[in-house]
Parts: sequence; structure tokens; C-alpha cells
Amino acid sequence: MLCRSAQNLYWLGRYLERAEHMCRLLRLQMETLVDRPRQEIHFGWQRIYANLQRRPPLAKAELELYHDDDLMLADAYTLADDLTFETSNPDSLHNCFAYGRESARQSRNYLSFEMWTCLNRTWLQLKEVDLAKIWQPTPENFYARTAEQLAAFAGISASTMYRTQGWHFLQLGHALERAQQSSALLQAQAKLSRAQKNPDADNWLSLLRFYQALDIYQWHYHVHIDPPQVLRLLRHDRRLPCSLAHALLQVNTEIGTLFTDTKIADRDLQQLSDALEKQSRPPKSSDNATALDLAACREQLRQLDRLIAARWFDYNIEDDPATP
Amino acid sequence: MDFSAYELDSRFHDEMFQGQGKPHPHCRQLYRALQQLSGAQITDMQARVKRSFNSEGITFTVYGDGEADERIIPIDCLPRLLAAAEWQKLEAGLTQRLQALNLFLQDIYHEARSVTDGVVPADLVRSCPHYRIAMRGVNVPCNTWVAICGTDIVRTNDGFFVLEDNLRVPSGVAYMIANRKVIKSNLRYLYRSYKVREVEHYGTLLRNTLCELSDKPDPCIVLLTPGVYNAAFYEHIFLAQEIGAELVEGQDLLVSNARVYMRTTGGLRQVDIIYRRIDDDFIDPLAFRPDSLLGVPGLLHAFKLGNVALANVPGSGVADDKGIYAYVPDMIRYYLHAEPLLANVKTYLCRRPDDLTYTLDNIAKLVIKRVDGAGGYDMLVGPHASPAARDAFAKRLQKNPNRYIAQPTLHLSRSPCVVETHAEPRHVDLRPFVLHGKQTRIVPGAFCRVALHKGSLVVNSSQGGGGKDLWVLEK
Repeated sequence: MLCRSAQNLYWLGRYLERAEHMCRLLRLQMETLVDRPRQEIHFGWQRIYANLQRRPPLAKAELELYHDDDLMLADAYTLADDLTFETSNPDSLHNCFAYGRESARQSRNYLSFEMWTCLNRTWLQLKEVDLAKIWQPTPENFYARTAEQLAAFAGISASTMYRTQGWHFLQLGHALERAQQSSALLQAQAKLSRAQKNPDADNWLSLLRFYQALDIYQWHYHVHIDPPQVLRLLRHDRRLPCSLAHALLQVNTEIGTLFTDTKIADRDLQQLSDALEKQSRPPKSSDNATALDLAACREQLRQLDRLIAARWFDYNIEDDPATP
Repeated sequence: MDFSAYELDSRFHDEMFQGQGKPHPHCRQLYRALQQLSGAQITDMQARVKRSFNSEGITFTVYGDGEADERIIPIDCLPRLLAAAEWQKLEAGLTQRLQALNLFLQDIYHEARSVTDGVVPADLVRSCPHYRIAMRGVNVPCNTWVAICGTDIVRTNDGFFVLEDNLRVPSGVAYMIANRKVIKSNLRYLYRSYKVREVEHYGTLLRNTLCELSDKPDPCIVLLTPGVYNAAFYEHIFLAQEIGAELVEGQDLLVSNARVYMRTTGGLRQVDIIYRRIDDDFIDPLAFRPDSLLGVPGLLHAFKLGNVALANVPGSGVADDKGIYAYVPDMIRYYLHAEPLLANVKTYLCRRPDDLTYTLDNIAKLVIKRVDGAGGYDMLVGPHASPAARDAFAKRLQKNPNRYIAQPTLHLSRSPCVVETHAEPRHVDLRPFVLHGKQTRIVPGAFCRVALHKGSLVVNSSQGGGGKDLWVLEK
């Protein structure tokens, strides 16, 4: 397939995954505003901004822990706006959709009619609202609905998209972005928790909720929240669809399929992908070691992205064996 | 639907009515069906049609203040009907015209017999901005210079007239098909009861036509687009899908050893046929505009050597120049030894002193256009312009008369359109699409353009025009 179309589908996958990640984070955060202690709300915002490696608006160094509910809510409004509709924030929900939809528009001849209309309709709805409109009465509904529409897009894709390279580039984008976001979030959680004098179990509970893994954790382990155990589950359990291990396994599978489909091999790319997949298997390490691994994992994922681009999207013509 | 306020005007042919409250025979059923619909039903239908276009992203892009705005082409949900005999006449005329235009292009880039024999003035051809010296002596597959043509046709009380031929990158066919799809689903029972000829097979016909331009049994076809910022980008996507071609930009192609390749994930792949939607100027920076970033360096060289086919061929624009247009009936007589089946609009070439004087004396009655203009820009509709605008245009005209032609203001036919909950007449034209490879193919339909503002004659979508579905009826 055309390199540019492959690249667009890959980025479509990445942007939509990023949008879904943001929706889930904000939905969780909006729910905490209802009845959770101010410390937990504060931790939630810190975790989101650390995940994005973005400085919150108006914050000089770090976010303030308010002791007044009105100030806390005003702050939440500003932060939610920054993460949802701020056009200068490249990771805002609005921008993820705008870029994703543009990638889809440019590779529309690879998408089914149903995929395109689902995505376009969601984008048109998003364009019609602002934070004031979604804030009353329940902002979490907006994020839940948007996440549902993204899930509908994934379902429609799975049931209507022709299984050629286009499909695999789309899935590769999804999986790589999920791995990237997941490792960033876990790293942020571990780092912020270590900085706390009295680590709060509720912050780990909310993380499990984000990964839709609370029931699974309680089922497989116990009611008591043990942070290293939580990290191990979210990082290494391949059976959990949102886990880092699941995403890395999928990245490796898609890369293998694309090597076959495009009849092209790349030793560096294959080795790195295999190494990442191996690392995601259950370790014998402590919490500290895991945090270090996560940083390395993120860097390796960035390297993987560069190798993917160099192999399939932007290769040197002189290196191509078919060059006449 | 309320037709009580629908006023006929004897100056304009009406597409639905032959007299007040008396529809043409082939429109009776439509009229009866529309009368059954309440105002609310019509409003709902218009809203549904708009929603459908919006969610499917059937848009064109308008640029203003540096911001790109995606808009839908407004569509009126009342179809325009054309009887079988009317279409038959148009089809024969369009076929004849495109044959003559292809013969003319083959001629002027080779022996130029028509120029030597005085059919077309040499200086008019050579001074045309779309005449490409680089194309002289070039042999093209099947002698087809124009494989895809969109001809603008209007109807007055005196019959059909060709307003202009669009031979470079004619657009609108995707909207023809989109209009059909949405209108037939909204007027399903009426559509079924009328025997309407299909248009949805256009993609197959286009692919067959393009394939005829190559000797290979299964050629690799691409559609070359200027990119996502082009106003017709939706149409480019649509057509690429319809003909099963990759949608490529200049950056996706390269020329090596005089062959064209596209960059695929599996390496370079040779391209055999390019359906280009980029203007001549931008298609190859080595041959035409050197500052073009949209084209493919060396493409023209590969084409001249016969290693890739191009539709339409660069340099074809000389035949749709508005100055050359005046000579098309003579071309038909000269090349085909036949009388034109479709008439031209009377045209005054301002480069001729007498025609210039006539134009300046009658500016208030005439429509003045640039010979190489398109899209309704840089033109004057005399009867609708203010005295100040006419004076300003007259000055421009006197300064550079070679660049302009004048035509009488045509009394374009009118067709009922939905205005709120009732019907009002609006001016319409139509753009059928003609395909020419080893044979000529035409889908029985057209992009019917509507001037949506009351009294307006400007049907261009970039200037407030809209679309309508055209139903060509079976015998």
C-alpha cells in the first residue's frame, strides 16, 4: 500500500488511542470531584499532567492543593478545559480528534463507509460543544459517551475493515500508543506515590479503576491494595486488555504480520520489538526496578516508532531493492 | 407542498411546468407526489439530506482569512426531470462535441491543419495560456487528449446551449452521485415508480476508459490530487475509491529511468495511468512551473516516451479556452463534416475591434468573462451589476481586451426549489460528464447546479450555488 496512507492509518490509530486514554482519565477525574477527598483529586490532576509531561495552565511549578472547595472546583474547570478543548495543547481531546479525523480523511479510501461516518459524526458532535456545555450537569457523561463512540469505532473497524496492511498499521498505531501511554501513566503513578509521605491506597484504587481492573485485582489477589502487586498486574498481565504487556504483545504481533505482508525484513526493528515483548513478561523485580524499566520502555517505544517510520513510511529510495 | 406562490415567467423555460399549475407530461407524477407532502415533511426531508451530507463528510473546502472551512454543497431535495428524448439529443451532441475537441487537440499539436485552413486563428491558439509548446508533436494513447469532460449546458426558451467545456480537471461528478444516493432514499416510492436511469456505475465506466489508455492487461492506476487543501478533495477520495486506484500526491511519486513509480510499503511500484486532478502548471516542475511543489519532476518526459498515460493530457486546456469556444461549431463542421447537434451561445471576442465596441456599448446587457477564467470569478453579469461596477469592468476590458469574451445574458431555465415550506423557481444548469477512450461513454445524468438566491444566475458552488438531483427518464 501507499506509504503515506499507511502512515495516516498508523497515526489514526495513535490519535484515537490517545483520545480514548484522555477520555478515561478525565472521566475518572470528574467522578472523583463528586465525593472524593481533596488530596485524591489533587493527586489525580498531578497524575494526568505527569502522564502527559505537560505543565498545567497558570501553574508556576506544580499544582496547588486547595483547602477550599470553590477554588478546587474552579481549578478543575480550568484544567479540564485545558485537557479537553485547548487547541494549543497537542494532547487535548479536541486535538486528538482533529488530527485523527484528518488522518482518516487522507486515508479514507482504506476505511469502510461505516468507519468514516462513525468517526466524522463524533468529530462533528465534539466541535459543537465547549466545556461550559458539558460541565452541567455531569461532565463525566460526556467523557463516557465519547469513549463509547471510540469503542464503537473500534468495533465497526473490527467488523468492516478489510484485513490488508491498512488494518495492521491501524492496529499497530493503537497498540504502540497504548503501550506508550500506559508506561507513562504507570511511571507517573509510581513516582508520585514515592513522593508521598503517607501513600494513599485510594490513589491505587483509582488507577485500577482506570484500567478497568479493580474486579480482576480483587478476584486474583485480595481486597487489600498492595502497590507493587497492582503495578505487576497492570504491567505484566497479558490477559488484561489495557495492560502494558498486552499492548506490547500486540505491537510485536502486528510488526511480525507486516513483515510478512510487505515482504520486507528489518533486523533492528524485529530485535527491538522482540526485546520489548520479552521485558513485559512477569519479572522478579521490586517496585523501584519496575519504575526504572518503565522509563527504559518508553524510550524503546520512541525508538520503535522511529524505526517503523524509517522502514515503511519514509524509507530511503536508494535502499529500496526495487529501485531501478 | 405548496405551489400556490410558484410564479412562471415567460422569459424562462420552466423545467417542471408548461403553464400555471400545469406540469410537463413527464413531471405530472412528481408534481402530484409533491403536492401530497406537507410543509413539515419537506422541511424534515431537507434537514435529513443535510445531516446525511454532513455525517458522510461530502464537503468542499472554502478558504477565507487563512482559515479553511469545510462546507457541504447545499442540495435542494426536489429532483429535476429530463425526458428520454431530451437526453438522447444531449447525449448525441456531447459525443459529437468531444470527438471534435479531441481531433482539434491532436491537430493543433501536430499538423495544425485547422489553423492553416483558417478554421481557427493561429494567434488565438498560440496566445492561449493553456497552449503548451512542450506538447507539440507528442503522440497520446488512442489520440485521446481529453478522456474526461464536463460540459456545462443551459436551457432557454430556444433549447439547450453549451455554455462551456471543462477539459482540464472537471469536477462535480461525485456530487452527482451523492445527490442521487440521498434523494432516491428520501423519495423512495416516487423514484421507484419513475423509471430513472442509473448513474452509480460512473466509476466502472471511468475505470474502463482509463484502462483503454494503457496496453497492459491490469494497469496500475493512481489518482493524483493536489492534496487535502484542494476544494474538491472529497471528490478525489470518492473517485479513487470508485475506480480502485491509490490516491496519491506528488510527493508519493517519483520518476526514474523515465518511468513513474509510487512509494509503497513494499517498495517502489510502477504506475501505468495517472488520472490527474492537478492543473497543468503544477504537474511537473521541470516542464512547467518550476516552483510547483505539488507535481512530479520528470513526469512529462515519462509521458512523452509513452511510459505512463495521463488523463487528461497537459495542454488540453487550449480547447476549453473561452475564446476558442466560439470556434467549436466550425471545428465540428471541419473535422466531422456534420452540423453541430448542440448549439453554442453567441460569443463576442473582445480581441476583435468590432466585438469590443459592441461589448462596451451593450455592457449592461451582456455577461463578460475572462477567456481562461473558471469558477465564476473575474466576470461581470451586466444586468445585475451596478453602474460603478460596470465602469470599473469596462476599464479593465479596454486595457486588455484579448483576455475577455462577452455573451448575451442568457435566460437560464428555472426549476422548483424548496424555500422554507413552499416551492419557488430558481435558475439551473447542468454538467454531464463524458468519457472518451477507445469509445465514448456517458452516464445518463449530470451534476445539476442551482442558483439558490432568488433571481441570481450564478450557479457556481464557490459562489453560493447548490446542487439538485437530475433524473433522466427511460423511454
